[in-house]
Amino acid sequence: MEWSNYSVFFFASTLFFVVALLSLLKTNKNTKSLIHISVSLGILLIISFVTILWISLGRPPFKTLGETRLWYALFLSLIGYVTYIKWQYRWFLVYCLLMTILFLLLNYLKPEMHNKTLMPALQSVWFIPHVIVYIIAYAFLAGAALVAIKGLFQNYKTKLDKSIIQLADNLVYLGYAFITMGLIFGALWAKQAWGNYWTWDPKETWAFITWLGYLVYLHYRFNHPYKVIGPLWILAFSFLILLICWFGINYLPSAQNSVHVYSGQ
Amino acid sequence: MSLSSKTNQNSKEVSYSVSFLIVAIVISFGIITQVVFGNLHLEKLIFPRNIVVLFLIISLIIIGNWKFRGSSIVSWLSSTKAAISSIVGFTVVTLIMGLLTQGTSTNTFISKLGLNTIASSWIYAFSLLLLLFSLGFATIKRLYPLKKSNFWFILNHLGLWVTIVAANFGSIDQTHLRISVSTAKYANIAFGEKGEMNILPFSLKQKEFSLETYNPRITIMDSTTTMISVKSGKNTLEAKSNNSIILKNWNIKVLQYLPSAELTGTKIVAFDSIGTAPAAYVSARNVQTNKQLTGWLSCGGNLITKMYLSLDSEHMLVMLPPADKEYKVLLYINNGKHTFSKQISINNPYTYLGWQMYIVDFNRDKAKWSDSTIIELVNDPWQPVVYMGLFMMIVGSLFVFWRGKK
Repeated sequence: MEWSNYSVFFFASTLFFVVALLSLLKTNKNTKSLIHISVSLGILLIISFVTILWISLGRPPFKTLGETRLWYALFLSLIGYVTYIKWQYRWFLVYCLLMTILFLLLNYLKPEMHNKTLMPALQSVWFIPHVIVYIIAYAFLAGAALVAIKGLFQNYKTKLDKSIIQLADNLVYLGYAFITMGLIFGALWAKQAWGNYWTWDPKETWAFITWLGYLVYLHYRFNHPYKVIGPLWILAFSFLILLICWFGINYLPSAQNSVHVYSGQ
Repeated sequence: MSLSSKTNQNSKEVSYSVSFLIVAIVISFGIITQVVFGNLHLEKLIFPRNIVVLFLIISLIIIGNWKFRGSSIVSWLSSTKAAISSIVGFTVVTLIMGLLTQGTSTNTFISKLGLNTIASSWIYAFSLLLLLFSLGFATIKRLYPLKKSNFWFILNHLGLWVTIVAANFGSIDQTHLRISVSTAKYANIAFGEKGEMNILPFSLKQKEFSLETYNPRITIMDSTTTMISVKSGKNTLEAKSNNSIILKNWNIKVLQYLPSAELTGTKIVAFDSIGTAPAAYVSARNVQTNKQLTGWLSCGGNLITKMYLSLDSEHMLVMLPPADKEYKVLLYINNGKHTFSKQISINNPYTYLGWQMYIVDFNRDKAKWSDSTIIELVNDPWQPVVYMGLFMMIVGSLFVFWRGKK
């Protein structure tokens, strides 16, 4: 059957996820069970489709971009759901479900779509994991930076609510886990594409500096559980480095030969 | 082991300023050594010397933790303050690498301090060593006695330690060679980065080569600077029949596209052979002046000249060379006894007798008819160790994700 039945699975699972998203807008006892039911059914549908696809292809469906996107939809919804069960982070489930729907939709519109003019080195199984893990990480860390700015504003202008640091911690721990994986996936990919894990390419260098920045935050928080302002400044500063890594390096003279600096076309 | 030797953390607690001072001193030593001795010649630390140095580092950490656990230096090294200050120290060194262009420098101050070759400078080596000792002592403190609750801590810290060591010490033992493989005959002589000759334990010959390209793109170029005129946004058009775009007031349309063409006399004809190139018959109409032009564009090859269309005195319509989509080579591999064939493409290297083979380039003049391929051969004996460290870090980061802050 391969992809011919995909639309049925796509509409059904998207419907469940939309129901979940609407229920997430307002949580009470009734909507809570509705969230659990609809998210699990949506995930179950994706799992069924992957299983059927796997069997009918006679090989693991990991070859085309469309197939990897399917895995992404599955993992994103799973991660969102698991985090929701564990910490009740509604916003994170919302984020994951929206991303899941996006990936499912892309596959619906063009199941075998290949990004045009993707240079050979980018056509790798590592491409999507590396990029998506980073997108998720950056989303968490941007959240942490917002918390930091709010906290610093409170401290200097109004009254600091010290519990704000707990939220920052949670966001950084999640973001840090993803940024670590993104960095490692990048290294493993580089080894596969060019035979080197690490060449101190400017983007690598700045990604590594970003990683070190958050590492300082984690250690400082570990050593000083009651300090708030210092860690918030570290967070704000680390995010600044992250922004340099993300956009800024395009303007750095040291980065003109980076494999990560893309000229527009 | 004398576990009973309890440490009095409070009396030996070093302040942040002292911690940072120590790191600054270590980096200063790096700077002085760099100025006196010049760049670090890491290649001299080739196996088994790197193993000896590694053995020394590990011994120092084990003995330090075992016999001098109460001393101020060991308790500082295993402390979070040492971790933070050595991370910051290493960050500063890495920042230099991120800000200054690495490579040859005409600035004598920069090159004297090795700031343009940070990764092979003493400054890098000293700050990395400090980080390794801090990380090592922090890890061993949790390794002995082993507690279940320290599991994730050990995975993350030991994983990072193993990765840093294997990547840095391993890079010394890494060999990168290049060999030109042709369809004509078997080759087994590969060359190193400095041109040194190496004889491989097998020989290679090209069986088949295939190249897929994207359709070339058409754009308006500035006649004097030969730069693309429209800097941002959609500024090129894919050469494909009936595709059209408006660029700089010019409505450009592809009337006919030939993926492979030659020039015979004054005519452009479709022909698939070595030396041909893509060509497109296009029309360009200026939406303001209504000036209309038609003509052939080609990025040019041996059988067809580069063709462009002059729009006005400053602008011309050109076809850019097609971008590679995928190229792969099927190689015959002969080990002296028997021959087999294996396909290599980008992102899909093949490993044989410890040599990882990567396709690097091909004869670009002959494009998809290339009869030779450049293969990079990498021998990386430390790879399993690096993978082990990275694997520990991945599992460790999953723990961080799951546990959050506890």
